[in-house]
Amino acid sequence: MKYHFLLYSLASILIILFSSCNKDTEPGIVVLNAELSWSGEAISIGDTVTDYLGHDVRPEKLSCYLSNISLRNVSGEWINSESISRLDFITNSATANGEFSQKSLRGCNEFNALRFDVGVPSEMNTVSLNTSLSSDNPLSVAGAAGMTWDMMDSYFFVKCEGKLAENDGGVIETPFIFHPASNSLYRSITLELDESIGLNKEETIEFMIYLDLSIAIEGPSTGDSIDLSEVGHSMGPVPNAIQFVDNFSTSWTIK
Amino acid sequence: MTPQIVSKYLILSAFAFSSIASGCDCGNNTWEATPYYIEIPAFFPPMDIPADNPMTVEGIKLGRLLFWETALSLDHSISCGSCHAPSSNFSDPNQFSSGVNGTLGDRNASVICNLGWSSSFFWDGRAMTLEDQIRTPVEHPLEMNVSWEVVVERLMNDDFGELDYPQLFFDAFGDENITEDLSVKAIAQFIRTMISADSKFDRARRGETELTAQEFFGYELFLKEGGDPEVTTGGQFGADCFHCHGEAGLQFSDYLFHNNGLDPSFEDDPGRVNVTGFVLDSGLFKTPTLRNVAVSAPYMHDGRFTSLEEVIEHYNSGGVSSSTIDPFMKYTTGGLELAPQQKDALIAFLHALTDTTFIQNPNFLNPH
Repeated sequence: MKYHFLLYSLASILIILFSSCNKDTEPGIVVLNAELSWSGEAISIGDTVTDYLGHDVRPEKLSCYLSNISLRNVSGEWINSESISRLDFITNSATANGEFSQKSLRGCNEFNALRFDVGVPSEMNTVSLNTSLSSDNPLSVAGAAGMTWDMMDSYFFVKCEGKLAENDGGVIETPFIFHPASNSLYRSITLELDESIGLNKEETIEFMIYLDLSIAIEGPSTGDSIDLSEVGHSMGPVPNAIQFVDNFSTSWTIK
Repeated sequence: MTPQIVSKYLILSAFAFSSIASGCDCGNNTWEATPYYIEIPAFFPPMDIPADNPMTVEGIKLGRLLFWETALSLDHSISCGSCHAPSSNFSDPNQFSSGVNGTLGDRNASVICNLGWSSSFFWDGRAMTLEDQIRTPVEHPLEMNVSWEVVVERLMNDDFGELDYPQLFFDAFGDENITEDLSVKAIAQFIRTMISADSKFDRARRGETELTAQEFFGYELFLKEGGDPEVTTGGQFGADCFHCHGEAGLQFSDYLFHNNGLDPSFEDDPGRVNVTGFVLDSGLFKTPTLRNVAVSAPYMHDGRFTSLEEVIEHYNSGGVSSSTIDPFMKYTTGGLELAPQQKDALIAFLHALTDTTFIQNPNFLNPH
């Protein structure tokens, strides 16, 4: 009888342990659906737009690393999904996900702000270490899709490439390339929500976020503007790249 | 309950578990293929192997036989290996390959080297898996021009001397009913073993040798931004190769598609746009690996350049402007402006990517 009791007890404990493990793998998920715009109007990669200096501009590639999607609860505490995604605007939209563990969602799970970082966290910003990652990881050789800066063994945080016409009515052929990189150019973006929103385990909530590329060029004020005709190839932490990430971090809104 | 009863419970449980675990193999115990484990070279990323096509010794053996099998062409005149010659980094030294009846293709045959790490196939990336890529040339009218149905019928019924294909398929897949699907899986397994990782550059990375001063100078140029900084913002007087032929993962390709300024328009071969329909993909082609590039001539999707010198000169010129030319090409600023000794150094470095153990590997040669 004593052995029966022990066996049943052991089995019960194992069942409880396994079932609770399964539940812990059901995170709450935040999906960020990003849309691209220019001066408030939706655009697609490849469209021709006009910048603040009157240049005809054609953005041709736009992607960025978007990491650490976080939520702030109404008590003011941040929870971090420790996510890393490569947001790639193939046409005019792109998506990034953050998974919040069941543990992190215990307690207050009403949230009133969203935060994410543009860039690769410094501890992961090493290309050579990440050759061990499988191709579905955005930091892997294939997953990075060319956003590696081999010479400095790190990643570009943003890839923004295109062409412009330097003269009114001219041919759109002058290239501009922003490849901001290096840990000092890592930026955090906080977006306040109009209304608090709940997230529980096993739930998914989606946000629409909007990236206005014109603001990344013109900046929030006059002194922050970038003349695209002088950008050339702004790689790493050069002044145009620094200005670009500073402007870029003010270019996002949420609905 | 006595300890003996507990033991009985455990034995019965173990028996029940083993019965369940082995249940899926009931009635099929006569076939067992030998798993093959790919050794990933130093500094290489993991290889993606499809779950429905695990590598086996028998599958690779069959794949090699099929790769070199002329019964995969309409008139038994060519095999895969006919256009993918080992000495040319498993590509075609001719600009365009001759299909059956001497018909010429319209693109240079791609190299077969480290394709296990590639994420798209063909110059325009129209195949997303190696298996899908292998399917195409057999039926292509300018290549082997035979239906898979005919190929399967041949492999099932024709006399191949000592080769018994139904038995080889059984050995590889446990099924002697030959199919198109199993054929491409076997060839894909073979191609995934075709790994080049022993060039002088690889050996230098592993600390087994050193690049010469000229090769190292070329390597530095390879990794530097192109252009005069007075003219091109960010320029470092480099060769600017790394943006597309990145060193990360040692494949020397970003797996992406670029227009590298060959032509002002793309009517002759629109390239990637035919796959995506996205107008910005007009004139874009896949970045090839630079491994064994010195033996991979001719170059570009249409094999227009016959030497590395011509290739370097093309990039040095900045290329021809067009609506989709890659912004990295220095077409508005007069090109890279590399001096003769810089070009020589760059070419010396590219030669250091030659892996003779790969192109001479007896395991990849024609077994027939």
